[in-house]
Amino acid sequence: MDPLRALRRLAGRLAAALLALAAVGVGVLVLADLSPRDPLASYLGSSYLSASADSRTEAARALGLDVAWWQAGLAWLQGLPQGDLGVSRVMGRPVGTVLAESLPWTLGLALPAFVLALAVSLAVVLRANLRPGGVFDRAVQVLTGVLAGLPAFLVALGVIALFAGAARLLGVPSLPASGAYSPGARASGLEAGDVALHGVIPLVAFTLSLVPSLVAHLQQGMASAMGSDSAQAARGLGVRERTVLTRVVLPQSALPLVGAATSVVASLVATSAIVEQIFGWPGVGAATIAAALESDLALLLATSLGTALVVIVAGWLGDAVARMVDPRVRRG
Amino acid sequence: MQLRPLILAALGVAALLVTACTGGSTPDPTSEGETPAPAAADTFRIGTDAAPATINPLMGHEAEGTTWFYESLVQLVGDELVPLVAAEMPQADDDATTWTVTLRTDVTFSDGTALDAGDVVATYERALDPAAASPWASELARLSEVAAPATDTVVFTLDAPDAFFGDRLTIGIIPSEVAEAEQGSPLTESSLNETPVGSGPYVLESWADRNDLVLQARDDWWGGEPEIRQIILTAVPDATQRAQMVIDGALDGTMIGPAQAAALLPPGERDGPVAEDEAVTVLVNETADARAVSLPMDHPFTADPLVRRALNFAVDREGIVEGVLDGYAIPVDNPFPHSVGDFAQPSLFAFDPDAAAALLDEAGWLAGEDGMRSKDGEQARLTLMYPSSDTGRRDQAQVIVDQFGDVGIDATAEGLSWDLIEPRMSTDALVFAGGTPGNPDGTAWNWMACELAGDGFNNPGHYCNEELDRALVEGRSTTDPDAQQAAYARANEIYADDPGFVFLNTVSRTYLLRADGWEGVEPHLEGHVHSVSWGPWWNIAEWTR
Repeated sequence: MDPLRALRRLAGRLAAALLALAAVGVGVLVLADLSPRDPLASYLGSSYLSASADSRTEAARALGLDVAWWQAGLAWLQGLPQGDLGVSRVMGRPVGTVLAESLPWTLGLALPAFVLALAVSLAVVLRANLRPGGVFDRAVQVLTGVLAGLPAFLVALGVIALFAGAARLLGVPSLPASGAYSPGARASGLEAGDVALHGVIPLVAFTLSLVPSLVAHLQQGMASAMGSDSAQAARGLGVRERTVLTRVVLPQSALPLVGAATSVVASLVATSAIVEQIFGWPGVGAATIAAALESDLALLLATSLGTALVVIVAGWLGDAVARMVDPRVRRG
Repeated sequence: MQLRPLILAALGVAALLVTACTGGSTPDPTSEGETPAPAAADTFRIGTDAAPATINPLMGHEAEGTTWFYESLVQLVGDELVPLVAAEMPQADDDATTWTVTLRTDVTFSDGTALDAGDVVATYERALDPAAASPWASELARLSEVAAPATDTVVFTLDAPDAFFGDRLTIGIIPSEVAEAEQGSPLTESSLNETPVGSGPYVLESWADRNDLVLQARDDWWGGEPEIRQIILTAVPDATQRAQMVIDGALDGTMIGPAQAAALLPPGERDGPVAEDEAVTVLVNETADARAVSLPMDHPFTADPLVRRALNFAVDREGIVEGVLDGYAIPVDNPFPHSVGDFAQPSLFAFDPDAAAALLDEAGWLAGEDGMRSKDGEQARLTLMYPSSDTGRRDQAQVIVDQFGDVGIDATAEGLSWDLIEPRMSTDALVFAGGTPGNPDGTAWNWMACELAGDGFNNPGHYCNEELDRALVEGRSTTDPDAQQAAYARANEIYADDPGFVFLNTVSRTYLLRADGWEGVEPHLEGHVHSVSWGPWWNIAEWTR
């Protein structure tokens, strides 16, 4: 490819990314500004109700809550070059510390859920395409339709109930449905087994929430591969449908798979916040929700801009991978 | 970045996937590690709905007296103040404007340094520092100066008499070195938010993820060596989960909701062992946390004292406690209820719909054909606001709406956020809450003083009765118990003819505890604020087995 063209393309992408980030930052600041919740209410606790109007004004000034939203944003930006993300009011510690503590938990749950959801969806779609319109295919359509319509928290509650019910039937205690480890384990030393047991229910709920949209994406993407000339030719030669699927259709489905994977990255973040909140999983999502509820700008800006960055980079990666696996994209 | 959790979680999940794929079944739930590991014999595990908002005493951690990391001059146990770091009870002069506190001399901080008068002065000055934005600042409004005439003596000088200033001496004392180093910066940036340095029986071992707060007992605490060596606080957002974890043995204690408590107990019981497991008990702490409907003075209906008295007779308080709160509350009907201890005054308003109707007739609000009342063509209407996040207050508001309806008042309940409530408080009723154990002045003054009308959330209904103001000022301006009694008796009588509220009840708090042989658990009267350390385990450092 022409190096100049590549450079121009890169510059364009960077500009678009910066624009998107700026829009997200301004959006967060404006929304927090419009939020009816007074951050002082949670900060002052019960003293909020007995505080005089004067002492409220004084506290707001000391905490920097009395400045305009754009001033707050600029002040936060000024720290960035030094790597200073500010102090989280809600968490009572620097934002950097909050992220360092919570990010590993989020990745540790979200990445396996993502991979698992991709694997399950691909398997389901392949199996369904073995006999389009068959019982399995129709069951998948109905089930994913229902799942897609359910909010993530309902799916989570359903999974808890399922596991509890199964445990009762088997006469064994249910798996833990809150926290990432047994109480106190963090201080005495984490054990992989303990963490894994705590991760089962959140992981299942997380995966189930991702599957419906992945399946829909894959179904769409694979439809063309199913009817492609090569697949038809193979069928014409009398190759078994199973072999057609694995040898012909599957390789051609790499592109839709990458597309589907990229498309769920954004919903991955949202689902992750909900799942973490419900299961008391100490990740970034739960921290973001706490920050949003109390207009904790430093933490909220860091997590929302970070999230936006992840989604943007995922898009780039998706494109790059697509170009690697499918030469047609490179030409176009 | 800490990679350990990531690696562990990923490894664990990978292991699961492998078992799931090779075994083709879900992991065997009977494998080891599945039953909650029993706690070490000297560990106590508490489940909370959320991590503590802060562990900094100046930011409101343990505002009503300290128990774990820090120690205050005095401690509010039930409705009684007892000395903690103070060697004896603080002494007030005759008009209660100068308070002198003598300190114990054997108290040391967890960093080894001695606690003396300089630390006390530094703590209170930091609380008053405008740049600190301490929630204590407004509570200490009457304090003008703190001084240390000797290393074991602190003198507090007030702008105005306050016989109940002792209630304000419950801030955990921090080292003067920290207070002085952080002078001028907001408390949100204080080192104490992550690393507490106090003189209490426990120190912080870890607070990773802000989820699991682990406390370790000190060996050099002046009060002795606590037998419970470790306390673990774990945030479990869902109350049903928390209760189940206590029953399963994964936790030793937690706070639960009243309805949950009622469901766990055998029918007819209010506390005691739960039906499922003898070793797990429901404990109930009464509180000074009153619920009351604030009546708006700039409202054509409730501006009339006759109407406000009528509303007080129209409410069936016992019915609300039984019907909505599962019996977990104590009905109260005046500003000086059981929770102010020695100063409690006689009850004023029994449930009497006929008396309510008669008073409304007398006030000129007459019932029409449909039973609804009006005066000069204006309907008797009232909107009851409540903070929408508080389901307990919502439930009470809805019952009150019905009970007002029974005497011909067109009432509605409306859930709102505080910012929407605030500008409407002089024209709409509000289900309000608050109260300090043993203190007859705090609630009455903050809720009804003329000068506080509409100042923040103080005196929400813009009530004003100068006679009542005078009685309250008289009560807190003397240290003579008889003169105090006389003042609050008079204040109660004035309120009876001119009530600014419909007091409803003080709510109870319900806990689930697996005591496991530990002795020394004592119920006590709690304040409005629920801080996690003030559950049945407030005196955990003194438990024995």
